[in-house]
Formats: sequence, structure tokens, C-alpha cells
Amino acid sequence: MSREQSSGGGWFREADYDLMLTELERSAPTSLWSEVRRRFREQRAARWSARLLMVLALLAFFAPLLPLPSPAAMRLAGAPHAPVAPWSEFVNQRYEPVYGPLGALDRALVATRQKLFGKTQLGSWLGTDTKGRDTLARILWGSRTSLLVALCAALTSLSLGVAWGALAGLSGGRVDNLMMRALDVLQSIPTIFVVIFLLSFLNAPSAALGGARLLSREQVFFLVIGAVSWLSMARVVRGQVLALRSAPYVEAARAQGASLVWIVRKHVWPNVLPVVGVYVTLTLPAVILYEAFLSFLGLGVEAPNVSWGVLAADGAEALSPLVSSWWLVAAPSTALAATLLALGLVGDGLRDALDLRRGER
Amino acid sequence: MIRFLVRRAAWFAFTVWAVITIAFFLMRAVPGGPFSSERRLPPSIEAAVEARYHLDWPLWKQYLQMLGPLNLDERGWFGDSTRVTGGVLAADLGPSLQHRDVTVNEVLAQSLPISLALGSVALFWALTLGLSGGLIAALWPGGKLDHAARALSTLGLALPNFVIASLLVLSCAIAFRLFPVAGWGSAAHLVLPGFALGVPFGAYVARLFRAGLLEALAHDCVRTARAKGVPRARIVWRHAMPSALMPVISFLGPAAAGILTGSLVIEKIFAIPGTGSHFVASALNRDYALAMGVTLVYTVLVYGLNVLVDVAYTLLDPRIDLERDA
Repeated sequence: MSREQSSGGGWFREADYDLMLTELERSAPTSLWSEVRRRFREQRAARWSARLLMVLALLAFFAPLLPLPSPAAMRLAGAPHAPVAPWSEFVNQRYEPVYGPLGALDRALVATRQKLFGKTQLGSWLGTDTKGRDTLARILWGSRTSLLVALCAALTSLSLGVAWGALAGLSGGRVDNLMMRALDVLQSIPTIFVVIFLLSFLNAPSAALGGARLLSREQVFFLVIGAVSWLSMARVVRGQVLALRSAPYVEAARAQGASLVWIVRKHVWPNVLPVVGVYVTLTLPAVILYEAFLSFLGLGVEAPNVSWGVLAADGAEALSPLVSSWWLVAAPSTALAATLLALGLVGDGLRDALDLRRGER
Repeated sequence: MIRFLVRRAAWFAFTVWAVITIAFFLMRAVPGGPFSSERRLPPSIEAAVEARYHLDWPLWKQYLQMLGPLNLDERGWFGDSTRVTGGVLAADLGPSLQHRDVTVNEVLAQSLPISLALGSVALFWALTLGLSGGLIAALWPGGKLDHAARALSTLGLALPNFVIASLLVLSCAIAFRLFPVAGWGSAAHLVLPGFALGVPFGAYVARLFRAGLLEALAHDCVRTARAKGVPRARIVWRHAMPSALMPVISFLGPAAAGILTGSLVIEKIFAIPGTGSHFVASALNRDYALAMGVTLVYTVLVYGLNVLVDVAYTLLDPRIDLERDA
């Protein structure tokens, strides 16, 4: 009500009716999701984090197109080079194409880059590693692996975890009990075992394909990380479904003769979704860190491919009191920390927008 | 309580059996054997080595032999009694396939205390840092201390622990020479690795505890207590603390199993001879016996700690009835 409310002699004028109408329209019942979107946008930190993640995803996808040095090109003389400020050396002409095996899309992107920029590449703004490879380029190329791992794990825990949890919660009784005990057992096996065995199992040349591999090493890695990250999601979903099943309005719907499909679609699914969404934002950082952990142990991606975990592990290894190549730790750690922080803030924002926990401020 | 514990014991037996069985067949299904990576041995010697570890037996026989104190050999169920066979039920895990002339029991007896000591220090750090950070943040929500605590906990969660460990070594061990760089032997050797191992858990505990305290402090009973004039410290201690601790405990229960069995990364960086390295090495080398041993230890710890969590729940919240919920 921005306009003054004094409407003369007590009767409403035409303009007042217009005003009331717009007010009414604004307060008209909106759908749950537009409401959630609005409340999410109201939070500055979450909004900016979401933007940061989007920018990061775009940078990761278009990394081959950017005028970066090749992530595998070495300049051994005098390595590691300290970072040079962009204003002292913005670009140079030393680009040489050295890439690992690339997919068709990446090959096309790299070809476009070579046509667009030729020999021009950005200076080593973030320095180079002990083998003289450009840190910025490796971080951007590494983000492709790290983000893809996170995405795969999220998809697995979404499909497998939600299906398992929902099935257990909906069936209830003995089936539920059995499915939960199976989860108990799976959770009691050390994850690292499952990872190692699955990796060597899937990486072995299969006889059926004439000694060829069904999947590339990277694909196997993504699959394995996904396979070990769905257990808690199943638990969370099952808990939510169980709580919903005995909610009064669901019982009322059942008393009115609603079918199971209807109840799931109309009552269970929309109420499980928020929890799932928030839980995914918790899974993503955990998976990115797990990739770092596996890469540190040498079980992760192999050279010439890079990931943030590989970079952080290399940096930690290069850390010594004699040569202080601090940027090799600082750069990947900052990338990791910023991404995980942004994911966490988006998760918090989502939770607040969905009003899952009023108590937390 | 007794009935609850009996029920859980039964489930415990089932879980251990299931884990053993899955682990056994998973290991055998994976290509490669314990001796396949080495220099090719002459066939006669290879056969002798395999016979020593019963790898020449059919799978079901190996399984039974691993499981129980049955004395199996070629002549039947109870044959030559000089060939001692142990088994999980007899708490004898047999000889290690990779570490020659050492049994798995000996390997575990040597490395487990080390990991337990390290894990206890890490748990201590996690609890001290986490609980104090969470408490400070929750007492003045929105204040400077709250923001500082949240920023620190975010950093602790977002940095891989090998980065934290390297930074610690560089600052506390090399620059200031406060603690030894690596190794094992004295109490001073425990401080840095314990801290590095505990920090991420402490960061998570701080977040959980803060959220739990804020939720608990919004309860009606707290308002009533304040209206009665109960001092603030007593309100936090008596009314908010118990329910705020519950999410912390349910997180720390399973997490402690991982901490206590050692962290591969931390043990590698600080050159600590704990169980952590055996998890990876035994799986990579197909050391079936040792892999079974560490799996068993881990499973028992996870399960035991989960039971402890449930028991702790009843102490913190008298409404929870284990007999009914078990």
C-alpha cells in the first residue's frame, strides 16, 4: 500500500479498487515451487553461491575452449614457476597442444580453441607445478573430473538411494526390515574395500568382449564412487516416507479410498523431494572430498587426467621447507574450499527456503 | 534393556556373518590372486604355496574353513588334527598371505592399539573443538564469535585432511619444531596426527551441536526456566545440552569406527604403523586373510558403537524406550 490510504469521504474510489486488485493478485496463492524459489532468491549468500556454482560449471565445461595453456604441457626449465600477475604478463605465445585422450566433443572444442586463439595463451597467473604445468589450466581441467564425479554420485544416490528408501518405507513391515538390514550389512563393510574390489573387478579386461574393456577407467571410477554414496540417502528417504505414511492427512486420503499411486504422487513424493534436494547438497561435498582421498591414495584418476584431489595431493607432496611452492597447495585448496562452501550455502538456503528446520537460524 | 541387548546381539551375529560372507565371495570373485603379481614361480612351488594357504581347496571348503574351527582336509571333515585350522569363530584368522610367517592376529595385535590410541586423541580433539565451538556459536547466535566459529568449521569441512596435515607439519613441526614431523613412539608423536584426523569431525560436530542447541533453546521448557529465574549456565547444561547432544552422538557413533580403525591418509603422511594402511594394502594385494581381519574389526566396531549410541539415547532422553523400539 504505497499510495496514501485517505480515501476522502470514506467511500472507495476507482483508484482504490485498482490498488486492492493488484494487492490481491500479489497475494494470490502461488505454487509451492515458485514460493520456494522466491524464498531462496531472498537469501543473498545462497543466491551468490548458486551463481558461483553455475559459473564454475560453465568454466569447467568450456575449459577446452578457453585460451589456457594445455594442462599437460610441461615447461621444465626452472619449474615450479611462481605465479605471475596478470598485469605483468597477460598472455604469451607459447601454447603447444598436449592433451590426454579426449572425447569427440572435447576434441572439437580444442580444435575451435586453436582456430580462435592460435598460439596465444594466458600467462601462468597461478604459477606452474613441479613439472612446469600451468596450475590454472590444471585446476579448470581438474574441475571437470571433480564436478563430474559429484554429478554421477548425485545421480546414483538419487536413483538408487531414493528408490531403495521409498520402496522400503512404502512396503513397511517385513520387507522394510529386510531392506534396512541389508543396508546395515552394506554399511558395515569398509567402503575402501568395496571401492578397490569394484575398481579391479570392472577394470579387468572382460573375456566376453575379446579382452576389451566395457568402460573406460574414468567411467568405472565414476560408477564406483556413485555405488558407495547412496546408502545414507536411502536411509533418509525411508525415514521421511515412514513419517509421511502415518501422517494424518495421508491416513485421511487412504480412508477416502485414494489409491497408493495417488497417495505417492500427491502426498508422499512432493514432501520427500525437499529432503532429497537438501541431502543431495550434503552428498556432493562429501563425494568431492572422497575423490580427493582416493586420488591421494593413488586409486583415483590417472595422469594425464587431473582432478582437484590429484592437484591437492600433488601440492601437499610438493610442500617442503626448502622450496615454498605455496601456490600448489593454496590454489587447488581454495578451489575445493570455495566450491564446497558454495554447495553448503546453497544447501542451507534450500533448507531455509523449504523451511525444513525452523530452529536453525 | 536386557531384552534389547539380547536382540541386538542376535542381529550382531547375523550382520557379522553376512559381512564375512559377502567379503569372502567378493574377494574371490575379483580377478588376481595373492601370488599372481609376483615373479612367476615354478608350478610345483606355486602348488605348494597354494596348498599351505588352502587355496587349492574348493571354494565352499575354504569358506567353511575360514568360518569355523572345523578341521577340514582331504580325508574328510575331521582329518589330520596336526593341521590346525582356525576360523573366525575360534578368533583365529590364520596366517597372513602377504606378510610371511606372521598371522593376521599378530598383525592386528601389533597395529590396532596404535590406531586406537591415535583415534582416541583424534576423538578428543573432535569433541573439544566441536563442542566448544558449537557452544560458543550457539550462545551468541549472529555475533562475531558465531561467524568466526562457522567460518572455521566450514574451512575444516572443506579442506581435505591431507592438506590440513601438510600445513600442520610445515608450521608446527618444521617451522617451530614443537612436535616431531612423523613417526611413532612418544606422546608427542600423537598430537599432530590426532589433530589433523580430528579436525574435520570436530567441524561437523560444531555444526550439529550449534544447530541442536539453538533448537533446544527455543523449547518451551527453556522459556519457563528463564521465567523462573534459573541461571543461564544451568539452563544450557540441564535443559538444552542433553537434546542437543543427540545428533552429535548419532553422527559420532559410526564416524568413530572410521576414526578408531585409523585413517589411511593420516597414517601415510605421519608414517604411523596403524591398521589404516592394511585396509588398502590387503585389498590391493589380495591378502584374503588380513582383509577379512580388518573387515571384521571394522564391522564389530561399527556395530558396537551403534549399540552404544542407542544406549546413550536412553540416558539423554528418558522418553525413548529401547524395549519397544528394538
